[in-house]
Amino acid sequence: MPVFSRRLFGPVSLARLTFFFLAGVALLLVVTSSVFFANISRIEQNFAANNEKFARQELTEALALMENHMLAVTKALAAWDETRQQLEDPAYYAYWRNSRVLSSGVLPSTTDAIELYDVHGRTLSKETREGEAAMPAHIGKDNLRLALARENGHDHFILFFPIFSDTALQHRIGYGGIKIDFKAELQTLRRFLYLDMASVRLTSKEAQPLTLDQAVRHIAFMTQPSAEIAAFKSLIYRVMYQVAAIVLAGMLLAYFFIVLLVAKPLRRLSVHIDAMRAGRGGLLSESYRGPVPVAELENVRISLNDYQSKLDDMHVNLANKNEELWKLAHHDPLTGIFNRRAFEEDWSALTRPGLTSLNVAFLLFDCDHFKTINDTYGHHVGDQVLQGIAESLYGALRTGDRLYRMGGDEFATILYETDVALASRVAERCIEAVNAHNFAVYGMREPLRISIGIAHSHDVASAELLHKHADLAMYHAKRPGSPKMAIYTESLTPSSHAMVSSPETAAVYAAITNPDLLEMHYQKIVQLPAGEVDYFEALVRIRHADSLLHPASIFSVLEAKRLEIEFDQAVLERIRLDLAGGLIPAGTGISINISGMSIVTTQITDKLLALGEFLGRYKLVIEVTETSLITQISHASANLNRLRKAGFVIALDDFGSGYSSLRYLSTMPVDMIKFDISMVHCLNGEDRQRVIVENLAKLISAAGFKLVAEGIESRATLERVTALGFTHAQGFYLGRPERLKR
Amino acid sequence: MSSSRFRQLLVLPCLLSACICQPLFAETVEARLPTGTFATAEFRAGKPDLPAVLLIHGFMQTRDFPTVSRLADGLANAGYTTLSPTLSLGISRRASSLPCEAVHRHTQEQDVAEITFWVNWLARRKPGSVVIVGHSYGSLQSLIYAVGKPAPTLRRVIAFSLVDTERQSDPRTVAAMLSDAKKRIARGETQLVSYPLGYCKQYVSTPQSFLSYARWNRPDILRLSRQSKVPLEVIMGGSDDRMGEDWPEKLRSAGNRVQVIAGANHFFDAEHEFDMLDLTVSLLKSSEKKN
Repeated sequence: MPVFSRRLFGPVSLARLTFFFLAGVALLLVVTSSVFFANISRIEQNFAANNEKFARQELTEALALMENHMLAVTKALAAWDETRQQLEDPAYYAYWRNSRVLSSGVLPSTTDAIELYDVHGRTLSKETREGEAAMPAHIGKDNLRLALARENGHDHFILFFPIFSDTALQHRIGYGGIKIDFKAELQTLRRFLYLDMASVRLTSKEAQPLTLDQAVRHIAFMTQPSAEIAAFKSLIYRVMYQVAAIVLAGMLLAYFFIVLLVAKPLRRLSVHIDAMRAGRGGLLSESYRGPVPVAELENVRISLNDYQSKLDDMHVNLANKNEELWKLAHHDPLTGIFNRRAFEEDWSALTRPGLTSLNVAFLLFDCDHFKTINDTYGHHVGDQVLQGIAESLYGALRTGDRLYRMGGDEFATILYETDVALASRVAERCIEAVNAHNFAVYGMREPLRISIGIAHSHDVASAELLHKHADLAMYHAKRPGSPKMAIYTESLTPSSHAMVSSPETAAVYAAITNPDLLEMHYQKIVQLPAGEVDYFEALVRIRHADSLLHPASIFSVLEAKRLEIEFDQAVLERIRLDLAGGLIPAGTGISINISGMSIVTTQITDKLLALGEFLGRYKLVIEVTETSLITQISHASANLNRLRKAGFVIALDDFGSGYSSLRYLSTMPVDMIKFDISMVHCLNGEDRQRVIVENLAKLISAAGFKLVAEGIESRATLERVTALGFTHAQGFYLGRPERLKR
Repeated sequence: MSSSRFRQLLVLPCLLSACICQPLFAETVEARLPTGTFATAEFRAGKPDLPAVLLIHGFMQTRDFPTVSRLADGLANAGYTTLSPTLSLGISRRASSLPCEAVHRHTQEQDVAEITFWVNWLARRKPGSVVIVGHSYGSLQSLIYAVGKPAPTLRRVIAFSLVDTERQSDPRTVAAMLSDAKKRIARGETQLVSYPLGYCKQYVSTPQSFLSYARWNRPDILRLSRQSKVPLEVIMGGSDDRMGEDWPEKLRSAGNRVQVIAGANHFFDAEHEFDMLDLTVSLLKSSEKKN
């Protein structure tokens, strides 16, 4: 439908439609009635024409009857004894004419006048009468016929007749004349069904006598209204009016009832549906349907209510599902705590402008060496560990604090209205809770530790930095020797450099993908006491633009981006290439630093084992830190044992900077112990530390381990370590890390 | 079965045959009266040796009045010559009874004159004795004729239901009417008057006409009966009380032969019609014997 039609004929209410429909019916009724009445009028006209014909017939017949009657009357009058009496003796003619003859019954009651005439045609009357009773005083033979004439506005039959004294009609003794009221006489002769006698009149001139034949042509008349037609018409009209009244009443009633029973409930229904659409609807009670329920509307109501109920149920289910989905979407299925999505939503609210006015602390939790645990004990244990961590952290947090699992083994919480001190206490509580949790039930043999990074809104210019600072702090907390909890400060900024996207980061990524960008600088490790180079420690540098990136920069990026394994792989590849290229002097070897994360990785282990092809020509030493070894001792030991079996020498690096547990030394699969520089420098002192280190060295040496002293920077130190039984020494005094040339 | 009943049964077929044969015997005769009025009568010729019977009808009636016509038929069938005139009452060829409201100018005297005329006519037509049989007022008129100058051929007057016109009216009322009429006559008034007369409640007539009929009362009848120049036989119906129950006795007391037919009314209709005929025939036969 064209637009203009849609606008012109918009939705019309049922009440109005009903009204228009009923109006149409009424109009149809009017039209039908008009046609019907027109037909009746036509029938009436036909009847009128027939009636006129029949009326004329009646008139003609009546005139004939009139003539016969008049003749009979005159005959009787002529034969009447008293008529002859008057003609013979008119002494009392006046009485006879004026009274006797009129009351005798001989004359019809319609007689207006009677007159007797002698044989000469002269009236017997001595008095003249006027008006309707007037009769001519003298008649002639011309008068002896029935005539119709109009006199003084009245129509009369007049007949003059001879009177005989004998039955043989031989002796005429006079004449008689009678004047009869034309219309009255006709009416007595017969009953007219068609002719309206009241309308009958002569159209001839006054006093112009007409014979009956002539009179027929000069009689004007109207027909009686047909009683049957009139009755029929009246009946039809009455029936039509009654029908119209009934139809009208019926239509009004129908309109009333349609409005009452259908339109109003529909209107209420429509309003209710609108309310439903607007979300304000409820169930339709029975009160909406009106005084008399309509089955179809009741079905609609019931159906609507059913629909509404189902819709409500659906909404409830949907709401429940939504809630469930929300829960699923916002909760971590493994631990049941909030997940990253929930965190991001809360974080979005947190990062709106004005955050700096809030007192908010952001804590990031990370499980130390979780990958190793997963690899060592399997994902099932790993999941249990995560659940245990979540349970411990959740229990340590305050009521209302949300704990989020950010992914992997990283958790976070946002502490509102919390200062740094309180945040620290919460973090300590968390550490204690985790430490107190019995992870051994999951099959773990090592203690599980978490690192917590704390950042406070007072220290940030914008909320986005809050997360970054916490991240930085967390990584700082992961450093060996760290109290496992770090609060972000400005001093952490340099190392945070690695957190952000920087050219160094790009260089690291580039080097990972392209080992050619790695430069291995080798530092001599001499064998004591001879001082001959036993092997070189491979120290990685990255050529970046015109400068070299040193490990401090590289490792910060590695730690920040967790690229230890990938980077170690790249380094091993570089080393392999260097070994394959003959860069390492023959008869020597190299020591490779492997991170704690890498040592537990099968890939790194396999990569190292791949270097076994060079074992025939080189001494290959794997250096792992004391901290990484202890924290993942099972898994690391397994891999190290494989390497040792393959021919690799295992060195414990940075001994003394971490746990430095002698108990672990006995179980560690290491061949060499590298004393950390801090430990070696203690030998130059005069305090108990020197004594302890000296005795420790002796002890370890006595245990069969080879000792390597790092940080030899002077001859004296060299001599001292030699005296203590160190088998190897390394330091700037002996040689700086440098590139080897073929 | 009684003889009268037998005669009734015998007469009936005769009457029936007479009715059938009537048109063959009846003759309507017309005569111009001395007054110029034409009067008519029905004549039936009978046996020449039987007396002729002149039947006079009642007041303002005609010869076709059932009582008279049936008697005429019966007598004719019995072989009697009958003449049944219709007294003209001043109207030529009067054929119908004259209503009370008609203009009555006729008088008793004219009626009696007309009876005289017909007696004479009958005598000329059928020589021999004549018996007048009158009914009702016709009996009185016949008696008046018989008291006057009856024809020599008149042998008897048989008067059935001999009455006057009083009809037992209050004598003072009758006297007043008579007096009024006389006064009018005396004054020469010619206007029509209307008095009750006979069975007419309103008898429209000239005073003369009224007086001519009304003046004859019972004493007059009784007197006339004694003055009749011919034997008078009065037959009254036992149920006719127009003249009073004692009327037959009074007539007898006047020296008249009076017979009362028990149960008959003024008109001797029904079965008394036969009694009337029988008695008439009987009286006629007795008249023959006396002749």
